[in-house]
Amino acid sequence: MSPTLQHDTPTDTETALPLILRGTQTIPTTELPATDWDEALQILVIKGTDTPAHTVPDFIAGTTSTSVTDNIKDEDD
Amino acid sequence: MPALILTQRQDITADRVIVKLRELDTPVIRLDYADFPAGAGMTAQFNGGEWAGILRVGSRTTTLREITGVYYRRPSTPRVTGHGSPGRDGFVEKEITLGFGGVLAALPEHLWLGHPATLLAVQRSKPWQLVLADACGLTVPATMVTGDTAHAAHFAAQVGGEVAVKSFGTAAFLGPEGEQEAIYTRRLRADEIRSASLLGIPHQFQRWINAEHAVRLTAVDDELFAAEIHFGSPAARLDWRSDQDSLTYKRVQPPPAVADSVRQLMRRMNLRYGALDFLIDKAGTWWFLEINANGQWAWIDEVSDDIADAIARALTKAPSPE
Repeated sequence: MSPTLQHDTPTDTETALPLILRGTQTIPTTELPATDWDEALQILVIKGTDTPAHTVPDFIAGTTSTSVTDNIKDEDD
Repeated sequence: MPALILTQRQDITADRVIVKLRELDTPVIRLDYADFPAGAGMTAQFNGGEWAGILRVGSRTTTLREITGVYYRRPSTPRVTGHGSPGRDGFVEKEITLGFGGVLAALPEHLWLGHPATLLAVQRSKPWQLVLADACGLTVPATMVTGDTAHAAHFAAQVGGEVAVKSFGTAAFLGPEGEQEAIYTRRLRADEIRSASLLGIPHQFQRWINAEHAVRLTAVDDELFAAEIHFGSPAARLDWRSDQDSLTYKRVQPPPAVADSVRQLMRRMNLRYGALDFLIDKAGTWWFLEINANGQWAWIDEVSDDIADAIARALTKAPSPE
């Protein structure tokens, strides 16, 4: 192996691309399938168990941040 | 005690884990960074050495302390408008990522599959992966990284005359005409390399492995799920991603020594989830190629249901911090 690094000089348009880019392949773009199975899963997600929004955690109870919790609840409701 | 899943709205892989979590009666908070600020909110306070607070997504609210596990899948970036200029909008988007995302990243590391900083470290250094894989006892092909054509050709000649050339990262992008382009692994002879140019750009060359088949091994904590990938076309033999319709799969148990090494590697990389790629030659040697810390797993029917189950369980019962 040569101890020195020899960077090649491109001489035309083709050689202006490094080796890794010469193997580029065009791939077709496909649309994501919307199957019944996918929709069924999404419904399950929507029906997932909720943690009650009105639960005020210990750290925040009694501080001014409580109002933030209330606001969050109000926005959501 | 909810599990937190960070991902975009359309993610059927995450959906499969959520179904399993429901079977375990575990509440789920599904969050996308793009949910902030309209669909999600957070307040957190650093006190007593840790962050405590609340996270609200839609109608679901949890305290940060209650979260039993965090699955980092495919969250999208925040998108906001209405601050007067694209620059201001961009600033706010970054503030969301750094602020709310930053607090989430401060959740205990052992809760994560996997922690964003770890994902980034693993993704950004394939050469580092090879060092650790070798140290853990996995068989790693001879590899050269160079931008020098003569060095690359010499390496190819040294390792049997043929090499694989592959990118370091995801190689999908738009071409000059806006078309979708991809780069797959290619098989090259020394003379083919000599007639090309590397132009100083780093290329990764590996000794060509005459593989009988590939294996995708998915690790979730100490559980391993491996599937042989059998090539159904010449293109798939070069890179199975290039012709996925031709592939067939078969569940397989990894050799005990490989399994031990993979578990070691996971611990060394601080990962609770990983998708590892191997090539298997005629002698039965498992050649380690790479680990993807956030790799896809749902497309292999032979193992996907068990993987979904394992991920759900992992999100429910985090291991004790070391």
